[in-house]
Amino acid sequence: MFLWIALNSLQAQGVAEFLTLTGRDAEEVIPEEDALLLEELMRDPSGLTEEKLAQMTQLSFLSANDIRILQTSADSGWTASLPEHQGISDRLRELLNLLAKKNQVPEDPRVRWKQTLVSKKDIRYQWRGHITFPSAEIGMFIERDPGEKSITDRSSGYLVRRYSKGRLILGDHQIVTGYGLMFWRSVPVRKGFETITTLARAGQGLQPYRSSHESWNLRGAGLTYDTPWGEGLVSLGYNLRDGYIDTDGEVHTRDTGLHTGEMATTQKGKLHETSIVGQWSLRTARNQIGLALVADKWRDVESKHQLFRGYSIFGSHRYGSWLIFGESAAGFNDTRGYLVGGQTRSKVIHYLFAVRSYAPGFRALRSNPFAEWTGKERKETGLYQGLMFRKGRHKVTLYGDLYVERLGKNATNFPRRGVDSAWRWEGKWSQTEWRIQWKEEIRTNEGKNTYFPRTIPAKEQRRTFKITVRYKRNRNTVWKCDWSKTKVQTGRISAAGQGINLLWFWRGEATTITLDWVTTVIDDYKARIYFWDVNLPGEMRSRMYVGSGHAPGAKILYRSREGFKIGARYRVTWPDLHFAGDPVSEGALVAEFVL
Amino acid sequence: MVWYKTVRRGGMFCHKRLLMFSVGMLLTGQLLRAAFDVFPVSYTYHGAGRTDMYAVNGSLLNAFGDPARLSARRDIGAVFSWRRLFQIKELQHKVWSVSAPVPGFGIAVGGSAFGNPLYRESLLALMVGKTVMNRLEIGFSILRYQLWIKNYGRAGTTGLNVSWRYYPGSDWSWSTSLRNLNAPEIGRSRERLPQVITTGLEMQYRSNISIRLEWEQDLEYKGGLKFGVTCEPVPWLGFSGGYASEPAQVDAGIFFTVNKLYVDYAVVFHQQINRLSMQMGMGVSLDRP
Repeated sequence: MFLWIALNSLQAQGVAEFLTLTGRDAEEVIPEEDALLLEELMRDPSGLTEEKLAQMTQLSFLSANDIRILQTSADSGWTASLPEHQGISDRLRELLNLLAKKNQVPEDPRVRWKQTLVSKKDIRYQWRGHITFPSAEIGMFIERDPGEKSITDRSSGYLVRRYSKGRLILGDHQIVTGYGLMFWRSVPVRKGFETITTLARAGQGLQPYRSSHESWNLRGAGLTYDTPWGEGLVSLGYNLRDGYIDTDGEVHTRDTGLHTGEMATTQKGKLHETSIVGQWSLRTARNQIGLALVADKWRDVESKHQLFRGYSIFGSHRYGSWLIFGESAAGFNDTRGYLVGGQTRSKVIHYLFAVRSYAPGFRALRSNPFAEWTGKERKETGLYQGLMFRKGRHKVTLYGDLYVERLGKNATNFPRRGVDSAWRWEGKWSQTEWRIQWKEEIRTNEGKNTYFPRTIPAKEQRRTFKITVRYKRNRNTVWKCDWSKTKVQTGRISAAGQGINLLWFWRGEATTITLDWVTTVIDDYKARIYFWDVNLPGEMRSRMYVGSGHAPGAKILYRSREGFKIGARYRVTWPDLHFAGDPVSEGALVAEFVL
Repeated sequence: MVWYKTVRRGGMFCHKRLLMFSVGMLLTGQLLRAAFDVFPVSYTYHGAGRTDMYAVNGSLLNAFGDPARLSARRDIGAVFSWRRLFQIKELQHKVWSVSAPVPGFGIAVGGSAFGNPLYRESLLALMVGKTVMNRLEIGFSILRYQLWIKNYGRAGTTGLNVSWRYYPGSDWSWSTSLRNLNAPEIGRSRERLPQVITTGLEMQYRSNISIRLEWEQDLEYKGGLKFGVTCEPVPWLGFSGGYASEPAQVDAGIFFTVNKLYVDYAVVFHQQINRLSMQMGMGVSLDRP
């Protein structure tokens, strides 16, 4: 294990580099909140502090074990030697080393302001501001999406006030507790290699809402209060959401956040959502238990209304090297769901299993649990298992997921089923890192409708094979090459796709340059391929490629000593291997200052 | 180009009609997209790629849209500007502005009138700018818009402009202005006034050369890039040049100051109609030179 850590020498230089160059798969994107929080942490010039460690517990890609160690260190003030702690993951170690560096930005910056312009046909404008006080912080966000007619089409803000016994958030906030059955971020825990480390971690409670997702926040007031018997949490929210209530009383929401078409503008803010949340949770060194209650009322402009109620019980228990965790929830319309799992880890092996079951139509206030199908499609029972072991320079990860659709009482279809299985090998040497992975997804098609005499094949099989090699030429230059191949078999019809992504990264004193080239040969949308895009500060996007062609991209980022950052990215996509046809351009510009 | 050739055969008279036709197209497509599209700008605007750069006496003029420019003002100042867009009498635009010393702030009031005896737009503005921690200038302006049409009556509304400018170094800055941030609407038809986002980088070279690269978008339309340069070899004389896309134009200008009087003149080549136009303005400035 020590060898593995010591060889992890390709020190990342920023958030995007940290995540793309440290082996995260392009199909497992992280929530925007993580990217923003990482940017925030990296801007802080004070090195590793207790406050910074406490903030890091909100990062969704860290494991439950990492979170526990971070919390212990934050509480005890033991920060300096944390990067050498043998129990933390490689990713946390690398992140701690990155954050331990004292930055060159002014001491104790109070104000941060960032402006982003993203160009693709029309421009998306975003402004994000943050002011820090000794025991409070203020954040704001304004966004105008392409085609929208108002600069402040989306505006969001929050005030956080910290007390010795808890904290108060006025404005936009979110609750992330349990394992996502009742409250979670706008992005669920994804199925993949990262699930082994991230699924067993519980949410960290009340948080200010930083995301640009336009319909996930709770707007109002949230309060936490510590007592000897646990932590109490109360939230009162009033939101204007897009959508309508139909004549049967069903609530239909539009969650895209785009207000461009006639229907979207007509339905903008027409649903009034009033929510009240009460939660109690108790956390000890080995156990956690919590109970959440929620009432949620929806009303439209015609005064049609619906009242939903729900509750959730969640908890975890540490027994030796095992962590047993779970959540059971009664969602709206008396639908039930549960998630139960166990995780064990040693220096060599890391194993996780989780069983999940969600009734048809299971949803609650902001539920977003680990699942194959999301949103209204969420209705399944499944078992996920993952195993990771390492020896010297090598690390091997395996996972499998079995799931079956849960149907309603009057269903006439056979339930859809699926199985995912995958393996990955990673090897690290002094200048080079290799990663080879293979994944197979098989889904049955019983649930799909068809008309005689057409028949649909019984199943769809999708196989993906990827090789990644990363080479650090010197302390300033990194090369990376990804090759990906996908094959999809649906009955007698097959489609294939493959692509290669070359990336060159260079960092100078004040300037960072990334050059990137993607070439793909893809038959069909089903055989689509994902690669990381070049990302500016605050972004963490991967791109999906669905056809053949070339897509060169570039990024340049300048940071001044005073903390001013200005950067741009640009990508041209030719939808043809011979550079025929009209290329499609897209780009972005970001500028940010601190005071 | 058929219409062009046909009209040209008619000689001098048709040439004039052609010019008016071109101007009409320009005004329809470039200026009069909506009410209050004609906005107070600095006098180098037309000759420097429609970029609103700071120039001598300019800050009181372009503070309507970019009030952060007032941040450094600590003196009494006044400016009056007069111009006819495209040298057309009916498109007369007059702007005045007065600044007053207030400790810690730059404050100005101003107004403008645009139009003719049949149609008139006027605005009154209160503009405030402040420097924050040396490197940042922020400002806002509150504007009262009035629209008057003969035999139809008048309508008014209130708008809010916000801008900021950050200086990463002493000789360059990054700035953004948001015009009509509060999405004001005017009249019974509730016509929305233009919401315009402008952001750009400005560089100063040897204190008398300014370069600005700017992106501007009226949210109703496609945005465009602008580039402008001004050079003032002596304090009373300056030259400018620039390029703007959407609609595309290349321009050059000259401006000079004589005592309290200043004059600006610009020649603009409009690529889409392949024609030249002239822009001229003058004014009186009681401001520091």
